[in-house]
Order: sequence, then structure tokens, then C-alpha cells
Amino acid sequence: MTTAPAPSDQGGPELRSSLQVRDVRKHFGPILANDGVNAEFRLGQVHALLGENGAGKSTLIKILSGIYEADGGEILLDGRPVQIRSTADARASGIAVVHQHSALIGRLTVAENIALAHDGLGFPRKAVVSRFTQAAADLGFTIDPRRTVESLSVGDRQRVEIVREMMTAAKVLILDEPTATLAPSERDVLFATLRRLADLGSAVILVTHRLEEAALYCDAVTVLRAGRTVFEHEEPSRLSQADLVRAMVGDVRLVAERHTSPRGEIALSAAGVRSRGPVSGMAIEVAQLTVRSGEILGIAGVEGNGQSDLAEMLSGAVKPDHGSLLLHEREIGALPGHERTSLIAYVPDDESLGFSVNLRVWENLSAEEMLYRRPPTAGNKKAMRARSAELVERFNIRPPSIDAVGGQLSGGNRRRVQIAREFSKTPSLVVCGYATRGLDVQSIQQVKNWCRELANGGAAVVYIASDLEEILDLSDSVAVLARGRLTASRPAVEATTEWIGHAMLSTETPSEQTA
Amino acid sequence: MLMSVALLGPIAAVVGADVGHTYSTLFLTSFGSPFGIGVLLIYSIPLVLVGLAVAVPYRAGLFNIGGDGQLLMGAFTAMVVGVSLPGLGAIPGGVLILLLAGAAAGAFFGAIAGALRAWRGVSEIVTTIMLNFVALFLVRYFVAGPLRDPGLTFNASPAVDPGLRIAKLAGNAGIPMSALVAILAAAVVAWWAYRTRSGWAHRMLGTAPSFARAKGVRVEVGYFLALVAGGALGGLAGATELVGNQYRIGFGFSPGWGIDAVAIALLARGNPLAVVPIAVFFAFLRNGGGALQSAVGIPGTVVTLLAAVPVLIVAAVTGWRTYRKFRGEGG
Ligand SMILES: Nc1ncnc2c1ncn2[C@@H]1O[C@H](COP(=O)(O)OP(=O)(O)OP(=O)(O)O)[C@@H](O)[C@H]1O
Ligand SMILES: [Mg+2]
Repeated sequence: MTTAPAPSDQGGPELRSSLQVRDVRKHFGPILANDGVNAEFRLGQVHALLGENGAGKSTLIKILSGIYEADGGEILLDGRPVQIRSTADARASGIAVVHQHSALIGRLTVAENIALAHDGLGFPRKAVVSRFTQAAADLGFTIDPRRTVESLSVGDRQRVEIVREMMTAAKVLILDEPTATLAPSERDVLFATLRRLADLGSAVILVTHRLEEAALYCDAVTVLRAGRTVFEHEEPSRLSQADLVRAMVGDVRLVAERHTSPRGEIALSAAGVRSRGPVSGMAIEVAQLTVRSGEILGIAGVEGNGQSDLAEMLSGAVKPDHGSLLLHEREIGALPGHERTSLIAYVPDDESLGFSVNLRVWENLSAEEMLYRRPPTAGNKKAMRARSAELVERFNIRPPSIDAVGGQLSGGNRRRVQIAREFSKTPSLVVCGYATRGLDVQSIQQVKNWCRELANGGAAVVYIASDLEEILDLSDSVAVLARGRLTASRPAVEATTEWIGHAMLSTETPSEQTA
Repeated sequence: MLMSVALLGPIAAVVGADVGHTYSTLFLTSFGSPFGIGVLLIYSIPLVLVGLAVAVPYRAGLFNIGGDGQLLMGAFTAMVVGVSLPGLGAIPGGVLILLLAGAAAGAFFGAIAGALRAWRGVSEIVTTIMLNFVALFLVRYFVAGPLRDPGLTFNASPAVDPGLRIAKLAGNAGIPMSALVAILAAAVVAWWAYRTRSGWAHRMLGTAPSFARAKGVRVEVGYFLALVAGGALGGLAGATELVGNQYRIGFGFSPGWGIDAVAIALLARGNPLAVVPIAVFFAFLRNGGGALQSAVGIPGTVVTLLAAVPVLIVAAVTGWRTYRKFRGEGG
């Protein structure tokens, strides 16, 4: 623990070195995003901030980092009230933040982005690069600082931001869902690093939807619900996941839908696919693969092994260089846009491929409709807005309104908008690339249920995820993607963790513990 | 925009002019008489059309700085067609051929920039500016040389046949009927932008290019066509100005409408319907500016400078948002 001097003038016996928020409030129009948040983040501790999608976590963090100004309430640093009016104020107070949505400049290189963020326009580039490389290596990340940000995967962009904030000696380090895109092994390293920072006297605040992380790695937990602190605990390791879920959502329980549909005819078939990955550039290979109607194929593997590339090809967004990729005997990459968008439901890994922060919620939901099926005449717009309102209801999206622009939605709700648009089709093929990223535990269950429903309705489902449990729970069959190569699939009952681990290893990928 | 008008008062006071007189001159020049309104409209028409020429590519995320070049080429081509086919004037609606020819010429200029942008990745800002010079010198060469009207004491082309002009109505008030072209163009562009599938694809391209591409919008073709359409509107502006107001092309055919148009389209945020009132406002400042110089002694350029106030405000706000977005996460 630290021995930061307590201010003698206001120091009560209970006063400790910490960042405290008291009754913080923030509204957006009629929405109370923060409606009385209380928490105490102590120096020397790793503190989990939990809550379902839209609970107000990111809003609180934006207040602490000076992006939003609170309507009311107090922020106290070491017992003294502080005013955080700008990001510069936050930095001056020693608060460093990794936000949920990357704010890097795509056209610039990693090194340039880092230099900019550290106010180091005069900062020698070389020093930045070497410090960055060192900090990245400490975390076990390998990112070339000379690459442009737009050429990086979603995960790597987040890694850059984590490293960037780690480079400052922050008193308070806040990370908004940093682990959503990390592989389990990277997660372990990150937590070890966070622990080290805490031991050196920093306060670490971590937003996560992985409840086990709160229990395993954190010293305290605060749960928000509908903008309010509803639960605080000093020993999360003694809590069960059920305790946390109850705190987050009250006592609702979702029952897993039965997936019983008989296998139909072959829907998706791939043979001899070899291609340069459209996203990562790595060589992608699918020797042979079939997925039947009604079948759910889970694709396991460590993220960054060509998952986005494979998903882009399966969804028909990009045609492979060699080989055939057929949906009901038709080449997927050659389907015209209107057929592709109605036959294939695709939830991509990269949010910007299926969602826009500049378009309104109803426009995001009706984008394909307006491109291919119904011109946005006054009458059609009315119908599409009505349908959007239905989708918002049916898929539990919680936007301020269907006319809100995408940027006003919480991270999880942005993902739900995409899921709603894609899952409301009657597709022959469903391709999910990390569809549940950023969703709270309940929503993950819902997404799995929706996948089962789509399969029951006759769709072939390809479900890419990094969580083995999620895959084994959902899938009828499993294949492993490692170093861009997809193994043959086998029935889920035969897909032991040993086999999966071996498949990941056999192509020389770094090994991974099963979570 | 009100701010720029408001700022005029203090400036007048500083220069030592009568503030009240300054404002009354500014307003009366444009709204004091039917004649003033006619002049205001004449100033407005090319600004609306070139404003649209910038707004259309802007909606796709592209900057067309080539309005002046497209406008000159449009006017020039229309003039050449009109002068070389004198029989056209006898045909009712012959003037439409001139307008189409002008639009086609502008479209051609837009296509050059568009193709370079779409398939070679060359910045359209650079190419459209360079094409402005191409158009300027090309037209100057012809109107001072091969196509000079020998009956004139200055360098200018021959005038188009009276049968190929768009009338100005109401006797000496001179309400230009070519205003209809501008209004129609704004209406058509607005209808396309907000009511058609391709208008939507265009909008997605501008606001969310990765999303658009992922959903099958052909991004390169989209960029190309956006600049072709922008060029066509620029060309139409030139042809309309030719047949509706100047009738012949001299060295000073365009006082720099293409640059005003960039400001207009930005202020309108690419909304074709908003382009109309904003263009009229710019025309109002220009029109009043000239009068202020002679009547009050405030340099006309001061008034023109005032047009920059709303532009600066919009630029500052946008810049601030972008900055916040980078430093943290913007809304
Ligand atoms: N700029 C904004 N304008 C309007 N509403 C907003 C804005 N930002 C957030 N909200 C609303 O505030 C609420 C809380 O959002 P916030 O982003 O804090 O949620 P969160 O807890 O981070 O959720 P998630 O887990 O999905 O990221 C949501 O209902 C959201 O729609
Ligand atoms: Mg969030």
C-alpha cells in the first residue's frame, strides 16, 4: 500500500488515498446515464466496475476523463474535491484512460499516434518508438509502431491504446472493456501488469463483462444499474457469478433455448480455398468444409489467426483468390449485393463494417433495405422507422430513441443494432465474428439463443469466438483456425479440449490455456 | 450568419460611418426595390448551382474546389454550341440544348478529377484546383483569339442569339427566369439525395465508407459519379449564367463563385435545400458590399470578408469536435 500523505486539514480517520465519486449525475436529454453513482477507487487496488449494457459505465469514465462534465455530484482525489473540465485536467490529475472505442487516427502510424497523445509533437520519434516497443513487450504484445493504425486489427488498435496509457505513470488508470478483444494468454499478462501497477500505488479501474475477471483479479467491485450504484463489495473473490448477475440485472434468468433441429442438406461448402487475407494479409486456407442447414459450426482459435479474414470471405464481402466457397451451390463472392444481404446474416468483428456512429439508429437498421429493396420515400421511411422500433423492442436495444445517432449508443447497444439488423433476416447462412463482444452476460445468452433459433429455422450458422465454453455450449460441430488454416470440423461431442489445444498447437501458434 | 451581419455595425463605427445608414444601405440594396431583388437573384443563381456542385460530392466525403473551372467550361461550351448553331434559336426549347451541353462539359471536367480520385487515389482537391487553371486559360485563349467577337473593343466571345436566352421578366426590374433552373436543380438534387436508393448509397459512402463497402456499395464508382454529377452541376451553373445573364464570355465571367460555393456547401452541410438560402445570403452580402463602398465608404471587401464569419465558426466547431474525438472519445 502507498503512504501518500493524508491532507491534515480535512483528514478524517476513514480517509484513504483514493479517487472517490459521490452522487455523480449526468443526463442526455431525458436519459439519466448517471443517476447517482457512488464509488471509491483506492490507490493500490484493482477495482472492477460492472453493469449491463447501457448501465452508465462509459459515461462515468468519460466524466472522470474530462470528456463530459457531470451535472452534479463530486469527484474527490485523496479527499479533496477536484474539478475535471477537460482531458488536460484529467491528465494533470494523473488519470489515464483507455476508452471502449478507439480514438486513434487511422491514417497515422502507431508511433505518430503515440507521439501526438503524449503532447510530444517535439518529442523525438525514436524515443517514442523505443519506449512504445518496450512497454508493448512488457505486456507481451508485438505491434510494429511503423504500421498505420488503419491496417491494424480491432484488437491491435486496442492494444496500442493500452500500451499508450501504460507508458504514462498514471495515478489512476481506467480501462473500459480492455479484455474484450484480448486472447486469454494476453489477458493474464495484462492482469499481472495491472497488479504490478497497483502494487506500485496506482488505482486501477476496470470495466468488464467477464464476471470471472472481477472475482479472480480484482480487490473491489462496484455494480451500476440504470445509472446508479446498486452494489459494492470489498472481496469479490468471495462472490459467485450468480451474485454478480443478480446485482446487475435483478433476478432474471434466461433459459437456454433447445437446439434440436435435424440436419438439413449441405448449405455452405468450401473446397481448396486459398487466399491472401483481406484484413490481416496472412495466408488463409480452407481445404474442405461443409455446413448443413440447421447446423451450428463453432470456429475456435486464438484471435488474430485469420478470423476476420475468414469471416469476410464467408460473408461474401470479399472473394477468395483461389478455390470455391459455395452457398447452396452458388459462389458466395459472386452473389449480387441484394441477394448476398438477404441470404447471409453477418455480424463482423470490426464495428465500422456494420455500423455507423454518424447515422441514426433507424438508418443503421434499415441501411440494406434502403440500398437494395425500398427507396427511402416518405411512405417507406415511415414503414422502416416503424419496423426499426419493433426491432429495438424485439432485440432489447436501448437507444435514446430510433432517431439518435449511432454515437449516442453505449458499446453493447451498438453491437445489438447490428445483431438486430442481421438476425431479423431469414438467412441461409449466418456468420458471426465475435458477435458477443462487448455484450453483458445476459445478452450473450440471448445471442446464443437467437443463433439456435436461426439454425432451427434452417440457417447454417458459423460462429467464430474465442471463448471455448461459449463455442462448446452452442455448436453442433467445431473446427479450429490457427495461423490462417482451418482444420476439418468434427462433431462437438468429439471436440475435446485436448483436440482443440492440439489443433491450435500443431500449426505452431502460441499455446493457450483453456479458460 | 446573423453574427456576420451584426459584426458590420462595429466595423462601420470604427471606420467612422453612420451605423444606421450602413445597415439601411445593406438591406435596401437588395430589398429596397424590385430592381434590387432582381440583382440579388442574379447574384444568387450561379451561387445556388455551384453550391450544389460542391454539395453533391461533399455528401460522399469529397471536396470539389473546381466549381469555377466547371462553370467556365460549361459556359464556354454552351456559348460555342449556341454560336455555331444559330438555327437553334428558332426551335422552342433550343436553350435547353445549351444547358445540357454546358452540363456535359462540366461533367467531363468532373470525370477527370473523379477517375483520378477513384482509381488512382489522387486527391480531388488538388486535381479540381488544377483543372480550374486549365479551364481559365483555355477559355481566355479562345475568347482573346479564335473566338473573339471582332465587333468589340474588349476581349470577349460573341453573344448567344436572343432566341437562346432565358428572359428577365417584369420590365426593368429584371427578375431572371433562370432562377427556375436553380430552383429546379436544387429540388431534383434534394429529391435524389433523400428519396432514392442511390442517394442513400451516396450518403452512406460519405458518412460510413467501410460500412457502405461491406454492404456492397461500389466505392470507387461512387466517388467517380459523385464528381461527375458535381461537375455537371457546375457546368450547368455556367451555362445558366451565360444564357440568363451575361450572354457572352469575357475575362471576368466568374468573380470566384466556385470558392464561395465551397463555403456555402460546407455551411449547408451538404444539404441541397439549405444551399439555396445560404447562397442567397452570400449574394446579399456581395450585392450590399458593392453599394456600401460607394454610399458609405466601407470597402466592399469588408462585407465579403464578413461572409467568412459563419465559415470560421463552423470550421472551429468541427475542428474542436475532431480534437476532442482524438484526445478522448467524442460523441
Ligand atoms: N452522447 C450521448 N447522447 C445521448 N445518450 C447517450 C450518450 N452517451 C451515452 N448515452 C446513453 O447513456 C446510457 C449509458 O451509456 P454508457 O455508454 O455509459 O453505457 P455502458 O454502461 O458503458 O454500456 P456498455 O456496456 O454497452 O458499453 C445509454 O442509455 C446511452 O444510450
Ligand atoms: Mg461502455
